[in-house]
Amino acid sequence: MSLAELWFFVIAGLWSTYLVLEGFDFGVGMMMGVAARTEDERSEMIETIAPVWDANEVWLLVVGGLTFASFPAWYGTWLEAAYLGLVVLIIVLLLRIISFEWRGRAEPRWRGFWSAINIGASVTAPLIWGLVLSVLLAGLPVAGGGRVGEMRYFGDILDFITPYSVLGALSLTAIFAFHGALFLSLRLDGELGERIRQRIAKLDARHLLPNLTLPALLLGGGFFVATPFVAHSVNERSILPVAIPAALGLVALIAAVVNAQRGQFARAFVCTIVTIIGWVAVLFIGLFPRIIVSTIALGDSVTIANAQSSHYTLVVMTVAAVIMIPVIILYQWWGFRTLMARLGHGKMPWSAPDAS
Amino acid sequence: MDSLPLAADALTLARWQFATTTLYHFVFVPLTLGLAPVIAYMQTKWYRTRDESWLRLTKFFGTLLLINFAIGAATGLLQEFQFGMNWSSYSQFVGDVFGSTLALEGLIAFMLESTFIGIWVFGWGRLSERMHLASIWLVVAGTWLSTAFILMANSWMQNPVGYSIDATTGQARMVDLWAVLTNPIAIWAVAHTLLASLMLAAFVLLGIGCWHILKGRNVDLFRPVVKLGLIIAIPMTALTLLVGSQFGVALTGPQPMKIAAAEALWNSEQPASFSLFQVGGFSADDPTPSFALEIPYLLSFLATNTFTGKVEGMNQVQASAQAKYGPGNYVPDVKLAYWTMRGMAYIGSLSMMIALLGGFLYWRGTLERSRWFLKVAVAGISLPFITSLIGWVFTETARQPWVAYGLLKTADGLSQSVGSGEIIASLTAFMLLYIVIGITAFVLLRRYAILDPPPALPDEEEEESKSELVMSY
Repeated sequence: MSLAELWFFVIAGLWSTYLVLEGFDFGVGMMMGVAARTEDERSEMIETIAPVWDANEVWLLVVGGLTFASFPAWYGTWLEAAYLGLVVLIIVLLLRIISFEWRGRAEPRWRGFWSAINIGASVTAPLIWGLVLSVLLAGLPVAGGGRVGEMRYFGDILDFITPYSVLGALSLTAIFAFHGALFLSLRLDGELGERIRQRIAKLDARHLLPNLTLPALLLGGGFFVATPFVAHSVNERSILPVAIPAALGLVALIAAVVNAQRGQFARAFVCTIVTIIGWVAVLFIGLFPRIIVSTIALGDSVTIANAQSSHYTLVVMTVAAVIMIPVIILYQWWGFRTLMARLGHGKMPWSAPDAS
Repeated sequence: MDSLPLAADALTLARWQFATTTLYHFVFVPLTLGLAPVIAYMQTKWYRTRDESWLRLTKFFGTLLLINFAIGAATGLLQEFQFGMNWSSYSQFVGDVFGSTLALEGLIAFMLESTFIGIWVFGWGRLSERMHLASIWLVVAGTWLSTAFILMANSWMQNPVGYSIDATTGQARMVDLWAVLTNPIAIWAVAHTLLASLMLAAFVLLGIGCWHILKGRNVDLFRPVVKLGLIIAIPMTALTLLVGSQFGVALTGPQPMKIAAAEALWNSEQPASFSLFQVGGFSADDPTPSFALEIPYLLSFLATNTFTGKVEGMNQVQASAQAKYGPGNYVPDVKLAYWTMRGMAYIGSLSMMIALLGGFLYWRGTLERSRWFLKVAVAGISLPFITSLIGWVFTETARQPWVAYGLLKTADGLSQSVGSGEIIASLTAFMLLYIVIGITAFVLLRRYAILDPPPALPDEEEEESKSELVMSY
């Protein structure tokens, strides 16, 4: 495996990290819309992610910066192509950041407004991420152009709407809702916690519609089943290497639902973490060795080979990542433990032993 | 339809979008850079002396820092993505070098400051006092490192170093990381920016302190704040001006055009005199000002550190640039360069005089009775913000037509598939959003700046959660 190929999977790993972490923040935001009845309950929900959402979001800047450095042609072409989608995404992410800061400080009559902003952003952002990530495999009209070595986009924002990318958008959002509900079920006691647990635990005929695990199961399952075939037909990948991570992701998703049914929320939460990693893994393995599949001709695709940085830059980035990523994980882990353990109403799977 | 004017429109719009959103971002950044170490100092003071007034001040200014940090971080998100979105060709041409500095910033600096500011806010009473104090100092380290990496990225655009041009693709490839990290322009830029940020924070301390004294509220608490503001402001205004001037000397080598434009110097002079104020003389058709106030020898001294040094004029630089890079206009907007340079220097000098005057009144012991000065100090908060912004306008516009000096023109860096309609939509949306954020930020910052500082130690657990609400959400 070349250094650039390794970096392709490092970027995939960083996307997983970002989506797992911000995924439960977005999920909590969605729960504020569907499971909370009062602004006080929404405050309780926000408190569970208050110390960590900002640090979670920084992973987006890290994955962005490292994509820029290691695959400039991917970064440029992808972001240019998704222009209007990213404008909306950045606006909702910005509003969401401001809503966190302003909601508690604003006049009480404005709290509902900022909650609505946070809820709206928490739904919109995963939809857009799901769309712009899965469209890499569905394909976009990209090809070389301009200077030698430069990739160009020849479509518009409507090219992002394909059946597969819409499935990607909906599945990621539904999985995040489930993931966030599990996070809250671990973090909240009392009537509110119980209400959330009911939304993910009771999967019977009477509770079918309000149950949150069902959309995750159907849409997420659909994504895992569809990806190997899409990768095969669009990207000329053989089915098996893509089907293996897809099957693992599907098993994790089913295990999450089953564990939630049994009231094993900590285990279910670990399973949704694996599901999200699986969502990214199956997509990136489906893409390999291409990055943006071209709908003009497969040979025009943005690939690992034609988008990569120089060997020197990749070595520099490797050294920096090998040193810094463990350090970051260490101090974020420490921060999570210290703040979560003593803030907590509930108990995290990783709670410090002295927390109870 | 002719495609050329449309492309030019997209270029102008994309430049306006980049300029407005970046300047907006930089309203908040220097306050974070300057205020974080001040707060860390206050908390250290409390940790060492157990004087509760320092704890109250730490929490008071901590709230301002948090509001400010949130907007800086939020608007920074757009900064990173904008390179890919609007400047795709630029990103692909120089991402190998430029993207690396941004990636290092994320890995080494931004993650550190964001994580530890959360730990600091929520760590009151949950961490040991020593660890809690360490976390605010780590925030300072993160913000300052962040400045260093971002200015390395910008300085690479000003003065590309440590790269080679790929023979087949024409893209810039990094060959020497150390050269990129130690770019002499970056070192001057980092020093100038950090000093200016400390000066800005000092004016915020001074202004807020004087406001409270003016209103006769919390006077005992804010007296040391005024003193601290003056102690920082006096040396920092002087150092910012001095380093800024040396920064100009350092730029004369890599960007002679920028310095010539800033002085509206059309033809080389030896010795060169410094123009204090002039009417006209800002275009090649009208190179001689109709009125000018000049100090002989001063420009030679400022640009070369000798009184008789030769300073190159724009016509000569233009000729050598055409010989080197081919036909084209290499002269930036001269009027803008001339006045932004003077704006920085004049408002900076005015700030220094205010700081010195404050120091004199404080030494005489009459500062608190000099109501006119207290009012000047409150209004003076705005001055360093203005100089920071016009400094960026100067350094970015006077580099034109280049985006990466000598390597890539701004017009060639644009995203080809993003049309002017899309940029009009995004520019309008960002402006509306930023206006809303700006108004709310101003209202909130003002509210917390004139609030009575929180009590040092809450009596009850319930009290704690209330004061925590102010500090957190």
